[in-house]
Amino acid sequence: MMRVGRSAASAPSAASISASPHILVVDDDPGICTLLAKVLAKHGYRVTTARNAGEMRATLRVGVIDLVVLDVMLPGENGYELCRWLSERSPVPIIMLTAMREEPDRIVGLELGADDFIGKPFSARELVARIKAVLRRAGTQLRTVHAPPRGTLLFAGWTLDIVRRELKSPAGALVHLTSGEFDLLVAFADHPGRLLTREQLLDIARGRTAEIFDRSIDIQVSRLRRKIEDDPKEPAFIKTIRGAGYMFTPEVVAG
Amino acid sequence: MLGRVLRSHDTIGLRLILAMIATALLAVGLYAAISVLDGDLGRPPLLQSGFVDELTLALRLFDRLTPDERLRLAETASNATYEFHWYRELPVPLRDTKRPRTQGKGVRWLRRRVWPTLPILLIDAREIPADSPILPDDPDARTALVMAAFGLSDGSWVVLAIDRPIWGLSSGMRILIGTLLGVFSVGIITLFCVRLLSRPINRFIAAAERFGVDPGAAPIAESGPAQIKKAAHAFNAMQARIQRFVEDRTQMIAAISHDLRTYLTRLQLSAELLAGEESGLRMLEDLRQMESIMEATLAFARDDAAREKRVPIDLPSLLHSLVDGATDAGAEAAYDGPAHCILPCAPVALRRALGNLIDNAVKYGGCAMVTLAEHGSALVVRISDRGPGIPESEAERVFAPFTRMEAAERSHAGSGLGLTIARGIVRAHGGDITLLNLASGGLQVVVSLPLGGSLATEPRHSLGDRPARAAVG
Repeated sequence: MMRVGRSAASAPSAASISASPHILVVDDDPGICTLLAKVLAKHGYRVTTARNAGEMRATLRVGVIDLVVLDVMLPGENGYELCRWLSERSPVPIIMLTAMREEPDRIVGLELGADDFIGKPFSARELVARIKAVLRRAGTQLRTVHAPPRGTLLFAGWTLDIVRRELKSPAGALVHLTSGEFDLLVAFADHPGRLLTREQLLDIARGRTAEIFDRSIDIQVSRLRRKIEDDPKEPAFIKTIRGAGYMFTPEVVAG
Repeated sequence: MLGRVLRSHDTIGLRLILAMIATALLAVGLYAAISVLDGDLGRPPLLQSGFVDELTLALRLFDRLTPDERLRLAETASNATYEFHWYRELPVPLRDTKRPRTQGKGVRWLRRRVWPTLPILLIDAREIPADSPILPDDPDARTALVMAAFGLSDGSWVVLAIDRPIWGLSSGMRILIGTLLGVFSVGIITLFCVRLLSRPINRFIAAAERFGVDPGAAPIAESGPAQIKKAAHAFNAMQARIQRFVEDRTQMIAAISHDLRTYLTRLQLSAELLAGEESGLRMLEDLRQMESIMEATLAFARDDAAREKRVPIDLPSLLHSLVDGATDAGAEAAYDGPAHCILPCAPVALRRALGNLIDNAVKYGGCAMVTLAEHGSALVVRISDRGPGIPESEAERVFAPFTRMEAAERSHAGSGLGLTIARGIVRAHGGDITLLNLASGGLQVVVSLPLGGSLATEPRHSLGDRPARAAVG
């Protein structure tokens, strides 16, 4: 039995030896490893670095790791292979680093079990925000093994592809959503027929990715309505519940 | 067997020779067919078929024979085409016709060729009373009848009645028909031959043009006449070399960009560790710019639009997102147009193109007013600003790579590739970008995107999932 996984899966943060999460950084560039170790330590994380697959496995054998930051381009076994290997054996969350900022990479990574993706060059702030978001999500959902990314959600002829982060209209056209809008729609589609307060929406959507709303939920909702409602003034999908929040009314089916 | 020989010796020359032979055969065949179907056309005119000699001989015999023998001869010499009659005196109806011709071209001809000394009379059969016994009973035969009377030396007459004077058509008509047949058959074969010759050349031209816009294009089929095959082979070899070159370059760019990203990441992290100090902040700002220039350069070099899969998108949703993004960044931007409108396109590339244009409008023109309208078979996106516009003389230059306009602030300086990339992407969609200085001041960028256009539903192949196209020039 591997000893990787959340330090205290049953009671996050409380029973661990140290309260600060332990991050394993796997990157073949020593400069980046050192810098990431410094930056993350500055933000209060414990950090171990590994330069390749062997070192990563060795670290996992001896230490309890809360999150792995994994570079895609590694000598020998590449990041994708390691990501698959890791996610098949352990629920430890994975954030992948890639030099290619392209969609296919992200999708492949997410399908292999990565929790998030960040393209090089990135800022420490961005990385820390994502680490927080992923840890928080891992903390709220008690996961035995990585839940495979859910495929699609269907509502009223619309198709919401969670992995590819795509929304397809009943006419079959891709509808462009910003990250925030997409997360919001997923939050709605996950809770059809339920009243969601603004705070809940913010919370759910934030937990999904590190995308922080820089606009109020109301603006995001109105922008979303403009894209998916036939008449944004008389919304059929996202109803406003006065003084309380919003409700997503269509029936949602997992595809 | 013949097919194999033809295939193995297929050249433009052979094709020409075959086409010419075919033309000749067709012309002859058509003429023969028409002659068979309408026999008259195939036969020579009566006067050219030995009839003149027969007539001369017959008349000389008539002149020498006794009356009884003359009657028998008239009977014997008559056939289906003409009849001889012998009369002691010219029959009344013939003599009384109003204008028996003793002069004229026909008579002169007969006198010269047939009957030099004795009288000749040409009679128009239409002037003979219809009930005259010397006319045939059949009314049709009567109208075609030509009659000539030849005086013999004893004052009696031989009357020749020809039911149809000349076979078929006049010689002018025959020449005309023959010419038409020739022209027709040559025309048909030429058309066929032109297709036969031009098809492989056209295929070749199309492939060359395709390669011009799509370096990942499939090779030309090496078929057709030998010369074309050779040309196609040479072309394919060249195309393969260029594709290899492009691939190598693309891989090189990918490798360089990977390394650069690693260093940029290090710098970024180091700068952040220094954050708080002024130099750290300046470094971060420089890094941000370096990154955006690198992104733009790579996008330009990779030509994303060529290898991205075409899918239908709801264009207004994209425009909304871009405009909202600009608004969130504090710029003045608005979208005015239909709520939904489907366009098949390469979504990531198109987002980059339109994003660049909207960024430019904000950067150089102070705002981005975006409209969308359908014009015929194209969608037209107009992005207007309130900036100084672009002088006519600069209108083409701004699309050239690494051209930078005077920006409001130094920090706004871009890669000089925004418009170049945008136009490349839009053109890859079969559309175009034009610049328009508005009368009210400001610049309007007009992006037309054909709805059908040259859009394949699949990404172009052959370079697989490798980045496909490097910048040329």
